[in-house]
Amino acid sequence: MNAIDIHVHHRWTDLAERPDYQIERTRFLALQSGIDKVLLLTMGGGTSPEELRERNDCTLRLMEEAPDFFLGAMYLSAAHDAADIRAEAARCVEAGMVGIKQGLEVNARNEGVDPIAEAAAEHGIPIVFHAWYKTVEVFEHESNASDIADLARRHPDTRIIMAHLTGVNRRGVQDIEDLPNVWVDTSGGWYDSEMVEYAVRHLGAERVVYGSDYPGRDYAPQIGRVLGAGLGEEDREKILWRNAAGLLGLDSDAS
Amino acid sequence: MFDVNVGCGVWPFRPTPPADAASLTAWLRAEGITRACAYPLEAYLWPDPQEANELRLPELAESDFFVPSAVLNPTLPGWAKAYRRCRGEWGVPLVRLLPNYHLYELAAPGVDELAGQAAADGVVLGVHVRAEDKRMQNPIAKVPPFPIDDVVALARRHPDLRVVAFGFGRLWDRCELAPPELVKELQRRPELERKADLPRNMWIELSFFEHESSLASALKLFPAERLLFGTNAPLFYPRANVLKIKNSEAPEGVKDAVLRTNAEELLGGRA
Repeated sequence: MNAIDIHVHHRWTDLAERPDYQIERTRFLALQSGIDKVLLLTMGGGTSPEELRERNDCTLRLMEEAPDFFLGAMYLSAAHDAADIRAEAARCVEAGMVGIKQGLEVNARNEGVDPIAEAAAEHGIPIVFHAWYKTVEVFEHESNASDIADLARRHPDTRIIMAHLTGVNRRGVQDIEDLPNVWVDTSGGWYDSEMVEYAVRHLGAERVVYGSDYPGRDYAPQIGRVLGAGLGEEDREKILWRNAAGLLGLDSDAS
Repeated sequence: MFDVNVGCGVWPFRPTPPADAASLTAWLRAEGITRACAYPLEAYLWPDPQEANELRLPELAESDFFVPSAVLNPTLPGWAKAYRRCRGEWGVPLVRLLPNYHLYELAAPGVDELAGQAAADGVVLGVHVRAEDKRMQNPIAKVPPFPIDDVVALARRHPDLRVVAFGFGRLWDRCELAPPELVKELQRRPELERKADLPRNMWIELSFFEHESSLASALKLFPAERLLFGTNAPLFYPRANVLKIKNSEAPEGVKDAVLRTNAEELLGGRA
């Protein structure tokens, strides 16, 4: 089985303090569940441009250590100047990063995200954007799927991977159904039956990608929801790696 | 594999695959599960869960695949009669409580009486602390998780009773059983010297337990012989929880205990 996990967090934020055990586990456990490559995501909310560069450098260091396994997504901050955003995006793409991560601290409707979306389009890389429809515990600036849809309409040339299928649930799938520049990843809470099939019925398997949200979540049950869903093998293959390979600019025959 | 957490029937809040006894048997067998302890799903919301028991337990009890289990509400005046019928008619070895859906505390009148009766009869008492993710519940039916510490207290009050906590979930749910400073160490260290203070008469079912490498994390907190495999089907894809255990780096003997023998010893069966 081939699989690319498009939603894996790492917690290395200070170059001087590499969390060796956690990083070793990030790779070992993925391979244990048949995952060949992971897209590493870092967090950058509340950071200065210098601090953010260091966090992205930690990701780059991991990519250098295991170039066949670790893919990297940069973090860009909507709180930073547009010029800083453009410069950091160009630097990280030049160094080999293939995506951008956006988290909880800025809503997708915020115009501060626009320079990030423009950088994504300019470099031809996707944004993995946190989203959720919650009935409780909603964070102040947290995006829901309608916010992601708004961003996608403002930037039709930007490709967005909306995180957390089960989190955004059926309403979220419908929010993006008519937006061909938005994909959804399969992560988000537990493994509710019928959810993957619902996304495939509404979006097509071409717009669903496997993601785990490791290490808050566990690779094995998260990939289990894709392996256990009622899908044809061709659709399953698209979700597990073929779609991700296309989004991240990998050679899809080589995965 | 012996799955201890299967709901039979109709879940009211969203579609699931067909979950009558025959459909569940086919679905779970296809995942390699050879025996399952099931309860009536309708019991969550019906005003008298005994009506759900009456609906589902006959077909579960007839099956070679299922171990039937009943849901009771010990705050109802008729709980003892329902208990006797479920024991006498269908031989249930496990009675489940859904206190957060039936709106009572484990200190409520009736709970200790039921616990004492179950202990005397050798019946296992299960407490479901959650059925679904509280963040995506239907907004007209927000049901917070039930505190696991209250289940621990029940187990301590009844040392001769065997108690199972079903649905213990995310480790950042604040609780005394797995305090935050202990949880923080899970991902940083290969081993932990200090485990959770689990009563000797209590088991943890793992369908909602998820953290990094879930079984490995659970083993840092709890003894292997107190862990039980459950799928929470039909609400979850069974494959998710099968792989949670099978793909773990835990020794094969530990995996076999969690997947099968712990449940056999607790509930009997022919898995």
